[in-house]
Amino acid sequence: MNRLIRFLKGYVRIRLMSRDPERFLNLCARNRILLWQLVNRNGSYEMYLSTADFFRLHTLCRKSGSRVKVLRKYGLPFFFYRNRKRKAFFAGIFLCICLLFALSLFIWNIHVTGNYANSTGSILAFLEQQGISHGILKSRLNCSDIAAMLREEFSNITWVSAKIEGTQLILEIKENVDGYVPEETPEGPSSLAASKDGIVSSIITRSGTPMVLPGTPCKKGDVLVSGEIAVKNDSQEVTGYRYVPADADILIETTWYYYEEFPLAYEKRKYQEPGFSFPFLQIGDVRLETFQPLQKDELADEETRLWKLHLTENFVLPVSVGYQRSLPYTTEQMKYSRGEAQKLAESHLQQYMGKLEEAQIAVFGSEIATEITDTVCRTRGTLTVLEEAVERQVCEQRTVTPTPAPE
Amino acid sequence: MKRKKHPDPPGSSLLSSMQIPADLSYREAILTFFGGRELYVENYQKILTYEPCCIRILTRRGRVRIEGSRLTIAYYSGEEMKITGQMQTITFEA
Repeated sequence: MNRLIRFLKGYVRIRLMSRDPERFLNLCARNRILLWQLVNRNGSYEMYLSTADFFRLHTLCRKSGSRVKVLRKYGLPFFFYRNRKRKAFFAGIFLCICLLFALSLFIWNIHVTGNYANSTGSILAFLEQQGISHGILKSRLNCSDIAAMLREEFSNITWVSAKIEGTQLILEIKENVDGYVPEETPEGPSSLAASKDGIVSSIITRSGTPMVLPGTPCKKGDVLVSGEIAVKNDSQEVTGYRYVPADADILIETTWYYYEEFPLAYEKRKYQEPGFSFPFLQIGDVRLETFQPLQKDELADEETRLWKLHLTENFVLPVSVGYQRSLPYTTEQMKYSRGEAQKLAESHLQQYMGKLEEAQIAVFGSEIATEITDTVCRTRGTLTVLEEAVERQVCEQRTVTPTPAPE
Repeated sequence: MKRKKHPDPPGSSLLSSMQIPADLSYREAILTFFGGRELYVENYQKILTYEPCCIRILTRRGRVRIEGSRLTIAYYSGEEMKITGQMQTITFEA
């Protein structure tokens, strides 16, 4: 910092020639003149001091009988003085400052953090639809409006902070990480019916009339919770019906059939040394290739790597560079042994169970067998699962015909 | 009675008992070394001699002689100075 201030104010290197240099130095100290890099060189003293202090040396030199010679001048004032005739140079500096100022009025980078479920690309695409893109004027942005728009568009975004720092628009996002999505509550009266055949395992009704008990078998289309609630009088006679949207947690025990088959014979690829990499430049959809391979291998994979050029983190230019190369391979006919086939079938089944678990479908029973013939490995059987296999149906409304009063 | 050359100032015992640092109470010079290459001097009065092999400084309690080679005064102001170079001996002269 001191160096910068010295440079801005300007400083000089001087040579002191004196019979009593110590007196000169002590006078400088007494008059609060800061000296630095004081060196005794060939009987004379060389030192640095600021330009302002240099003009105060006249009296001190007279008092101590010293002579001072300026060796070199440093700093911005001297630089400007030396280049005072180079008007185009100063005009360039001025234009550069103006350009920097003009560029600082725009947003050149949109930085999105904290997003996991919604990709940065989808958020940027939505913002672009709303007219907010790279290169927009900062004065046209309203951070609170941007935050509100994002919250409205992406239902799983629970909190958004939008702020402008320099030429960067920073969007900090918090998402609903527990996966809870508020269900849309139907407005009209409706019932809940089974969407698959099975046995009702549990039923917790929040609104409507339950039509089945746990343990009851049901068929597809059977109404489990009706949206019709009977209104009864003191004599337990139905006097009318009230219709509501049925709401309940229903778990149905259903049976799923599992079938998987794969041949024991397979082709194994053995990759050889990759071929030469051919670089290319791509502008938009036009690719400018440097070379094309003269002879293409019959059995080879093509590997293409592409790097998009970024001006800033999310400001992607329509220019890419990359390379293309072929990966030749040879094939070999192989056959799974019985043990390998068994393991592969088990791993496929585990993958399938994992997918069911991700979909929150509980598996509590399975009868699966693996059969290995000379050519294929076949795995089949049934899985007993608990799932919310219900669908909403429109509830038909009916009216109670008034019974005639006894005469 | 023979007079001391640098008698302790009056009230020195009181200042010592109050544990006031010596540089504040007696304005004694502070010499801070960083190895044998850098020396910070505070509370000095003036430079008596400056040569590449010897620097003599006057303080309130006497003279300090610094001997070495390629001695340079990195900066020099009324309160503080920094000496760099290869220092060999420091002598406190009465």
